[in-house]
Amino acid sequence: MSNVEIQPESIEELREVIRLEPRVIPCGNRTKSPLSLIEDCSTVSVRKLSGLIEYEPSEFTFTAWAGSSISEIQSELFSKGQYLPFDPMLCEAGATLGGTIASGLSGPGRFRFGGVRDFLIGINWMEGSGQLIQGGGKVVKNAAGFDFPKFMVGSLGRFGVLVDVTFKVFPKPTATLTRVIQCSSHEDAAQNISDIAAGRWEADAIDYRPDLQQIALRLAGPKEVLAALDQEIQQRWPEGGLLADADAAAYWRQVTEFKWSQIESPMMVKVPINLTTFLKLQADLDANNSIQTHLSVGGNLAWLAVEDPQSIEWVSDLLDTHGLPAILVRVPDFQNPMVDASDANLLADPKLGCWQSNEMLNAVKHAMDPLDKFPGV
Amino acid sequence: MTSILNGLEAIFPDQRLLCDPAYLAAFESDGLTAFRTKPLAVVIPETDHEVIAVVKWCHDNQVPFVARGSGTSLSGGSLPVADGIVIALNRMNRILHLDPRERVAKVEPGVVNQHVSHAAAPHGLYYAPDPSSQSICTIGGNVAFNSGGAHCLKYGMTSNHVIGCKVVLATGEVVEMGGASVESVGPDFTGLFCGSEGLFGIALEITLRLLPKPQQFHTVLVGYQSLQAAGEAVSAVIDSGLLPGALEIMDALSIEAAEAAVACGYPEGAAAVLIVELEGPEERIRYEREMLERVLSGTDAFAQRVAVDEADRMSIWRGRKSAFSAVGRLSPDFLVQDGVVPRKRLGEALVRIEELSKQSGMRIANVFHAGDGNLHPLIMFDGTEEGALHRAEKVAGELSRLCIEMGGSITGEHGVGMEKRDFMPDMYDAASMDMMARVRRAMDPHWIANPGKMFPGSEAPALSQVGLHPLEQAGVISRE
Repeated sequence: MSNVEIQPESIEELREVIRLEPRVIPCGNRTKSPLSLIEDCSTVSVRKLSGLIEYEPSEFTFTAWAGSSISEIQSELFSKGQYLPFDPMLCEAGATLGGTIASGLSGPGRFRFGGVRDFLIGINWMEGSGQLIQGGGKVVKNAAGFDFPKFMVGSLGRFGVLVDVTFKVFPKPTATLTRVIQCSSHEDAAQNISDIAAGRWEADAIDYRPDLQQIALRLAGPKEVLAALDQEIQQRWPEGGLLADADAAAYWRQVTEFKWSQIESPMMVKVPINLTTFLKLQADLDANNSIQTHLSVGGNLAWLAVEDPQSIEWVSDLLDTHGLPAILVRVPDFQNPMVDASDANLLADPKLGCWQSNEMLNAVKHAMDPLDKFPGV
Repeated sequence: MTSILNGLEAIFPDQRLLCDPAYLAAFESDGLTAFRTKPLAVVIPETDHEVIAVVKWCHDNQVPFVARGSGTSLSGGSLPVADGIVIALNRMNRILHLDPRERVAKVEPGVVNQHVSHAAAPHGLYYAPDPSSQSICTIGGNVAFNSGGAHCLKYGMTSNHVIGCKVVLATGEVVEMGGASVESVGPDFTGLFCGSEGLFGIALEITLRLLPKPQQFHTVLVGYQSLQAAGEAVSAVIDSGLLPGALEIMDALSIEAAEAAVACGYPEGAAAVLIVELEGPEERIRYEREMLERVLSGTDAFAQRVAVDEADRMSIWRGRKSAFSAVGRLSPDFLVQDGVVPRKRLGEALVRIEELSKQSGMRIANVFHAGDGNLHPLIMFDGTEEGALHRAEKVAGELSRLCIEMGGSITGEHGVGMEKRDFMPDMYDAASMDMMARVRRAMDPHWIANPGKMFPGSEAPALSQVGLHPLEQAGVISRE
């Protein structure tokens, strides 16, 4: 494992690196460092392939280099009253578009309109031979050819290097409102989440903190409308209160920047889940003080903050017993991820829990990466 | 029975293994009636075990197969292969599990699209993708072709609503893609499978995301004296920051056809109508309808009708949803096209379509999902006239090339299928086509799953007949 990074500044340079290096793991700004800590691989960052290529607000689309930092792209979008509705993660930490796709991370806003997979509509990527390959297109509706853009979401850089990416965007709501709802138990919370999600209010985000037994419900739209909708929600769930705008912004920022946990410098695990399985998993986690949970996306995504690297194996085994696959996306000091030798071993594979291996996966990996340039899935 | 089919009778009883030409005739075509091919046999499985067994049999014997639901594909996606079998999935039509708390439904591939929403309705939920054929088309076909509908701008296409699939690949391997959560880790195989046009295998179970039914709709029909004015109105709506559930335009020819067919009462003398639909909680609708009124009052509209109730809303939609089949009243035959251009180039595309119409001497009606630049030009011709079909096909080809040239796509929602496969290399370069072929081969080494679709150069059956599908004539299905 190495922290040395090759940073090509053009497609040609990238091609040269890909051709010369025997084995490559692509990355962006390494905000999710465990995903690019691979033994015997040259780390190739696309961070210098950065910037907007095309942005047509009237088309609801933009194309940018994969190494573009999301915060830069977002400020362009915000200036035109648009946004990526899935609350991209780790923007302040420097996350790139390419890294967000490869890691497959979406934030609380995924609840309303969908996640990275639902807004990514086109990609160009470089395969192991240095050849550029196109997937999808640049228009919001397109049913021609295999949907490689979706396939790349969560692919962890194992199939090629993303070079440029095209996203669909939406008009940004003019206001948001966040209400906290106090629950009496996790079961009560699950029922409330379900009721809110199925309700008429068009919730924008529904997250839950098991340690506080608190739901945070965000509405988005014109201010006048939100106040009216909130009135009904308050009547139905009187326990709790409205967050002041600054507090609300801080709450959601803590989620997207992985700063919600009281654990200092936690390791962070992404677990796709649903409400039923969450209740079972949380029953096991409640007994363990060194692991905290934040449930996001209306009960479809659990973030586990883990204090001790040595607990990762326990977490992985626990997830396995619940039939859940997961990934380790953050380790304590992401600038210097080499904790110590034994910890590094524990972190060698970001895949935790129950991953299924099948012939299809191997066959597709071999088809897309016949030179075996990128590490295995 | 042909000796080549030996072994199938061990899987299927006689009444579900059809080899009689009279039975096979019912399966020789789909919604793209221009192509017809009789398969060797049709099998009608009732369980996933039977589907897996027949796919394994096909793999072992290298016999091509085509999975088929209701056969509503408009791109010839379920056209049989002459030396292959059709696996008709209509009896795999069980809703296996509907969980209102998680807002998901697990269904078999032969479940009809609208039946999912019917089953979800008592819980205040629905399944969002709404292709015009939703009363008959099946979820399996929707998944294979990543079907769209009138509400894609806001809600996306089928793949945005599929969270998991259990699939039998063409190799006979059974795999689980995705799961019970809308989130996932690892490469998104579910996303790759959606829209793969049956080239990887057959979905046995599909897990769908359900949404809460919007509390209220606000549907407005606006009449314009020119297509351009309607197009400008679309831009004005988009630029206002509104995100309507639907934004549809019909031109004079398609209005004429719809009027003749269903007497939809669209504004008389309109060169174009625009349908805008807002949806959501009543408080939001109250606010947004005022916004929309302000936007529309700034456009060059000469007539406007707001749906006063659900029946009125349905009557507005009836005109739109029947438009394509209705064109059959204006012309004995027509080809329906499906292409996408960037929204800002819609006006330019329409001018070019008009030029093509003049040059070719063929009337072209236009209906489109204006919000996402998805055009559906209808090329009208008389199939009995010598060379007319060929000329119509040529115009269709020009339209596909036009969409590519403008930076769009050869298909927004009908898929490539048999119809558009020759245009794929115009949209994707050789390396990208090769990548698709490699992945396809990984899933299906013998190239037996729905061969002849999506990839150019495969053998095509001769064009034989055009005209309305019998179900369209009967008003059972319609095209979008």
